[in-house]
Amino acid sequence: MKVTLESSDGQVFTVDKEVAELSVIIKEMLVIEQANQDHPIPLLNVGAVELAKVIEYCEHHRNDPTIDDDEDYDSRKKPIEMDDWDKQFTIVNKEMMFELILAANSMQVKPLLHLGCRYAADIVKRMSPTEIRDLFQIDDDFTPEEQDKIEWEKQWTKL
Amino acid sequence: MASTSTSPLEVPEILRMISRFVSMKDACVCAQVCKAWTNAFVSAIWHTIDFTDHTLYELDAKILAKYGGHIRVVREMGEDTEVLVILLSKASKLRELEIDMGRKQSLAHVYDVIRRNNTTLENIDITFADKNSVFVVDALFPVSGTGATSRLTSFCFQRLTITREAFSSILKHCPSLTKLHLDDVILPSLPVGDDSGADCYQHRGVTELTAPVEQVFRVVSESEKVTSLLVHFPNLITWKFSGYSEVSIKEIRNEVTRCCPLLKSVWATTPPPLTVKLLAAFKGLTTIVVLNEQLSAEMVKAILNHQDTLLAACTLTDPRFDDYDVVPEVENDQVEASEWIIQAIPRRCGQLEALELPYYEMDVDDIEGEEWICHGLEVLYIRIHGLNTKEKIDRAIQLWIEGRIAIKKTQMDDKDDESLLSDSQLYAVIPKCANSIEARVARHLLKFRHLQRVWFGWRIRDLKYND
Repeated sequence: MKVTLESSDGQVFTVDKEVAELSVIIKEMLVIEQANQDHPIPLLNVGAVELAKVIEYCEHHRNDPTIDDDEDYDSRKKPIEMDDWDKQFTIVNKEMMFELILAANSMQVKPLLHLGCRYAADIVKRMSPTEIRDLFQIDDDFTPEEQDKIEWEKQWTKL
Repeated sequence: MASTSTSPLEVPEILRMISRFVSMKDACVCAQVCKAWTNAFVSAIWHTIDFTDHTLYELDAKILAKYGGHIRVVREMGEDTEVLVILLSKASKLRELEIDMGRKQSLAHVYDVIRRNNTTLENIDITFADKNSVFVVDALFPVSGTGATSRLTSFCFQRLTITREAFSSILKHCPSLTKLHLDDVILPSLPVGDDSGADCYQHRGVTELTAPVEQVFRVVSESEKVTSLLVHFPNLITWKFSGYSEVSIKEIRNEVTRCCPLLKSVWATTPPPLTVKLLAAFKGLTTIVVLNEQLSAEMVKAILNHQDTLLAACTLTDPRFDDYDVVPEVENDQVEASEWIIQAIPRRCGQLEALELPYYEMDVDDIEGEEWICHGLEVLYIRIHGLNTKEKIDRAIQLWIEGRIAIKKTQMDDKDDESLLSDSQLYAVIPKCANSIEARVARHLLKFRHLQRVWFGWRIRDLKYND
């Protein structure tokens, strides 16, 4: 069975239902709108370029087991499998990857969201707070009174 | 392009997700970027407190209490000061707690920590300092009347004296328990026949028991027969045992038959001669795991007693062996004499789905010598003589994967064909004249349609991820 998806800029994509269902949001929409399948599902926050990329990802991972997404799950202990295809997939510029993270988040494509967050985590690796602020244009909004953070930080970095 | 005005780094749930993929050190740095980042990274930083890495003594009680709510896992809590740190943190959502008690420990504080977390704890691992410690089992259970029940699924306790009543009480009040590990626990025995009373609670959820043979069958004196611990676990599937003492094989056999009809999986870390004997105490095992240096001819024979039912034959290995990025040398004393005898396992066990013997090496001539009848094989971890570099291993696996694709193509119309591939089919994919070690190994692997995970010396290759 096929479903059609419409990007925020009006482009329509036709994909297999099981591919589209990697998106939790679409899966839920399909349950609700089961009877009414003649119009495309609108994705208001996802542009055509990103949607094409998300679909490419879902096509490749259509048979993967669903991941157990527990808030407390400590992924540093058990990193999710990343195959050669995934590594190829993430060779894009930072802007594209960040758009994909937003798309994966709004569509709730969990494995792609994880992949993107891993990519982002790699960027900040071994940087200093100042370097991170400069790179992403973030303001330091700490008041001097909030220096207790420094105190516990000292403990932790004794590792 | 969609609007680029938002950055994913401004979305709190995405930042929190990113926090799960950074190292502890990086998380500490990220937490200092700005307030939003502190909120996102603080739970990753405080998630696990391992006292082998941290002290945290000097931290102000106010700071501990501020962040303690994020703590989920505590490891290696031992010293009084460490217990105090956790108490002061007011942590009340712990899922895992590992305690290794010192001699002068004040137990009261330890029980306070447990009590405060007894509705969320899923794993407890507690080693007492001496056997005379008193275990306040009530600390484990939520106060009755609050509607909360224990979520404990895995419980390990060592070096302790406990009454049979208290032991039964633990089982009774921890309905979610599936794994139990006990060692060096003094537990009064029940006389034979007295296994229906309150002291003998039967827990239907426990499927895995880790305990030495002598712990389960404590022999007080030769004349006095006692009921084993197995009577508590009618649905036990797996028993991981160690130990040295000689317990009558007949007695074990009787108790297993009587109490644990589902027990089909054993992990033996007993010395080899004892393991050989113990394997005979079970009937129709499906999983046998032994220490890696144990596959002598006698051991293989003992394993073959279960040849009609065996699904998995494994040696206990370093859990990190799949991470090796070089091909480790086979140590000679491990292979000697057993090289050909282990061939008997795949040749005789028709149901076998997993053969995991990463410390053993086979010769490809032997492999080709006689058919492996385990046509449903799914997992194979073994070394092959001559396949001793990463490049050769990868080439063999590549040939296998390519061959598999080629075979799938020729059999498109005939998907359900479960019959064995004929030699001519195999030679059509990998020609007979291809006689390199890689080609011969790949040809052998192609015989198993369901094979999907292999390891020949480095990196597990799983078709699920590589196909």
